[in-house]
Amino acid sequence: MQLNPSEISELIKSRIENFDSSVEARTEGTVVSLNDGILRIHGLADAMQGEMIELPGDTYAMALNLERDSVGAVVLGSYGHLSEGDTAKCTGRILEVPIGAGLLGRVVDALGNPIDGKGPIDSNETAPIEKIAPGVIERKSVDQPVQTGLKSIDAMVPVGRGQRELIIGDRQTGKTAVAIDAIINQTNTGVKCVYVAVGQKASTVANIVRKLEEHGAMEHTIIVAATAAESAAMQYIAPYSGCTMGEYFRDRGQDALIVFDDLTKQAWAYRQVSLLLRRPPGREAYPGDVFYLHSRLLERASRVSAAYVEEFTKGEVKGQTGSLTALPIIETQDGDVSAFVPTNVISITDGQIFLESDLFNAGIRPAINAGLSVSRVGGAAQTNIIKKLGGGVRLALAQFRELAAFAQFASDLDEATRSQLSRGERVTELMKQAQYSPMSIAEMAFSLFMANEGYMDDVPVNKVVDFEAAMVAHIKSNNAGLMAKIDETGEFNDEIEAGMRAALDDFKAKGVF
Amino acid sequence: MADYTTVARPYARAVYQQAIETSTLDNWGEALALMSAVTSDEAMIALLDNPQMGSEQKAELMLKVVGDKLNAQQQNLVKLMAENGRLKALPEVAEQFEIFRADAEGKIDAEVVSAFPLSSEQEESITTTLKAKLGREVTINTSIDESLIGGVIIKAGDTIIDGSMKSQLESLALTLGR
Repeated sequence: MQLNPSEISELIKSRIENFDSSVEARTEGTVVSLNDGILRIHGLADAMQGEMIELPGDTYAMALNLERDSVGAVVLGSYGHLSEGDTAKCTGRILEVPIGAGLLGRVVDALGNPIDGKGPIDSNETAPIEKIAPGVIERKSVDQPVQTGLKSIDAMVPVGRGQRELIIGDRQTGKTAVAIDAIINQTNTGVKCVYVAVGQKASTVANIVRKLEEHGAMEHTIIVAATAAESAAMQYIAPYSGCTMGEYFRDRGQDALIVFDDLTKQAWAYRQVSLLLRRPPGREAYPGDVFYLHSRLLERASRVSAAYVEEFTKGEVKGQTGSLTALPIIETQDGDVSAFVPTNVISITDGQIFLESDLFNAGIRPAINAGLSVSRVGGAAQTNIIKKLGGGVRLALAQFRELAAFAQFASDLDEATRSQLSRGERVTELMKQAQYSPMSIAEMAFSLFMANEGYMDDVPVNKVVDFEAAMVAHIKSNNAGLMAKIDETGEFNDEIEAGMRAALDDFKAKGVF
Repeated sequence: MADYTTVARPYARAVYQQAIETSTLDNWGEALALMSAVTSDEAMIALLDNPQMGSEQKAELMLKVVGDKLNAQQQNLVKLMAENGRLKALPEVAEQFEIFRADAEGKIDAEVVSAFPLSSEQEESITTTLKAKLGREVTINTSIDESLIGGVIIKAGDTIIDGSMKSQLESLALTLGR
């Protein structure tokens, strides 16, 4: 028989000594019915909305429907051992999860219990999963960038700290890949990440954990997983749990990034719970409050002022703003963005990154549609040099797509159109980027500068990717100082421009590609 | 039982108000207790569930059993509830009637379960503490359950105060098992 590390006599002794044996008056009720994980409990006259209800066998339920003579609740976890007539007790607490830096590097379920086999979570603080978002006074506008490391996103649809940028697209268009690359690129930036997996295969989650570990990104990341095998209730609360864990960092003057992968499945889980609770179905059988389901969640992603942080930490952290950036993911069916949940989330968020399967299949990865992707607040937060160099890329690409469609029919084109087409083809190629290889600001700046200044015009289209890789390698070995300077300041001025020009001329002259 | 709570409430309130107006609280209480005893009988439940019997037949049947002990209004209640197909809610009506009555009189019954017989001082102290806590006149009924090992469990309405050794050991086991 194996002994757990927590079974050392000293530990047991201290836990017995510290055991809270106080007796409280609690309200009790009886389980009247139990079907599909939905409990109807008679009694519990003073239950609160969202309160945890204790059931036999260390199981908890969450009260969702408070009616005159009964309470409707969903069981969190398995319910095979419960039966009609069991007693249910109020706990007087809203559902809470552990929070703190001790969660970083861990994989937890929707209730914050570790599921990675690395022992108990080193955290003694908890916070309710449902919290009201910071108010108007407590907020600060978004003016610092989150570098995703993907040049197509950082140049065309920049994301700021505290922004909510939706990643939307059909299945198999690389939505998760974009989010994971963004997490990997936060290594050494001090931005803490939370990845919430809802309704995904456990194997997919395991894969993501392994990839993050390989790239050294797990140390700053918390993974909250409610896999497809878990109950609908767990899938429904997982994003809120993850958000509470992310808010810990925001409220203490740090920056955090949270990925909800994906909210479509959370809406499905909520629809299931709502229908089983016999709430009236509305459009697409979603309940009436499915908009609020997502709006209250995404509203918690925000940038808060230094005054808020100072007040929250009672003066311990001064002069630092906090932020929680959200990258919610929505899966569309056959590119239909006008379905109920996609339109809701598009209207809630501050912009969207639209991924298309046609582009993906054509080998343009990340498969970002430049015309439909927008960032409503990120421009103010974009790094200076990327903003100056990448400003025209989005427009040029969108125009190129349109022009390319027309050009198929035209036999002879004028010079200007031809050069626009050839530039467009090369920029499209340049926007391709391999997975798990985020770029630094300087690398992006050189790529964009190279495209703007026509250094690639004589490079065959199918060689653009190789040309760029050779350029980055060349500049890295010959102009490391300039790159470091760009990375550090993010500024673009005449001096830097001259330096870049000289470096690229040198690269072209040597012709090492 | 719980299914009828909502159904029974308006009947119980109507009966209670009628009883107050005619100051026949005790009489109604007895009548309801009698009716609920009858409708809780298994043979009676089977008859009440019989779909081949009409509501009038069911009312007649009820009145045949208990009619001679009921006054005119009470007989009317039986007829009315039979007509609405709610005779089976009678035990719940009786229970809620008693709750209305206890509420109005500021009384509550508390059940005290202990592992050992309580001394009269202990009972006295539980009564006074409960009275302060619940703000009502408390009547306690004691019973003994040796499986508690020690301590007491107090049940008053929905509120449970569980100070038994058994439940504390159980929660300690849960804490250590985590």
